[in-house]
Amino acid sequence: MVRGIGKAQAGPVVGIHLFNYFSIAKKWNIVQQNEAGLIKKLQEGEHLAFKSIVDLYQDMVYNTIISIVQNEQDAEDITQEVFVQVYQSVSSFKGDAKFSTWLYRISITKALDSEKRKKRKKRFAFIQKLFGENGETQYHPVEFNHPGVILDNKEKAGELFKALQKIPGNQRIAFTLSKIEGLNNNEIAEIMNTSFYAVESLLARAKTNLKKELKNYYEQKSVK
Amino acid sequence: MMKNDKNIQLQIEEALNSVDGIKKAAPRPYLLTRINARLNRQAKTNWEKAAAFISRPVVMVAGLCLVLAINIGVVLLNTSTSKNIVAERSANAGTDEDYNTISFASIDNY
Repeated sequence: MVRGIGKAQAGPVVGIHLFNYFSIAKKWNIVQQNEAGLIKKLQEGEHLAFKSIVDLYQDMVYNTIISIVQNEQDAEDITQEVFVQVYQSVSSFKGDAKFSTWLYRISITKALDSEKRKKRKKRFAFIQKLFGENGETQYHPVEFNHPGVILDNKEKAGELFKALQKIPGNQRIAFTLSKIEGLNNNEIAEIMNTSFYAVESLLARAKTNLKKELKNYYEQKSVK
Repeated sequence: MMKNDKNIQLQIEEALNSVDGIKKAAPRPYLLTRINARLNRQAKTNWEKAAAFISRPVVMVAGLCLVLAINIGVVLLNTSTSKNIVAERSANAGTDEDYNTISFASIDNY
């Protein structure tokens, strides 16, 4: 009887799993086919395809950029720049890598460029402070709160983002893509144009450096 | 001291895990409209592109230097050619006089 029930239940369960597997595979296939179709249409200059691309990828692009530049206004400006570049240079996309990989690369490059500009501005503000009339700084960095972090973790996440700014760029990118974008090491390796083991090493070093930075921060805080 | 170290380690772990389960941040609505506006702003005519290129400081300075170099070159060339002409005239002056005297002499002979 028991065996009978077991058999009777096994059939539908396996069936459901198989159905789920095939439906997910089918959906993924449709998404990929749609994506390829959309890109082809965009390359032919169809504006509706561009709208669909923006709808599909805006969150991914914005989320990546905001985690790097840590400023909502800048992140939105750079997101716009990324899509403008996509529209203007989609003809150069050959399809060797995934479209999302290409988008990630553009987003990261633009975000890092913006960071460099910001640092230059900061240096200039410092010089202005030295030679300025009022002797006041004109560059005021603001505390960053990622909009996706839950309320209970806001303070701790703020401290983590502050520490993230102090570690080398490629470690920061690897950590951001892994922890915030939730990508696996293979995907990160493809985006960063490096090997799986290099990503593993980058993530390990990022974690070590972050721990160091956070330790310094908490030690100073406890002294105060 | 030991307790403080433990506390710091705990805080570090909490900070590192604070982004676990983070939700994706989304841009403000109507992003496409703003992108389209930016695209339209960038769609310049060829004349606007040429004007923008010429008005770049580097191009302007290079252009000014080129004009100055051409002017200096022309001035130098003119002074050297005018010197040559003067020298040639003064050299020719004697021969012309001889020619004139010869010609006058030949006239007198008639």
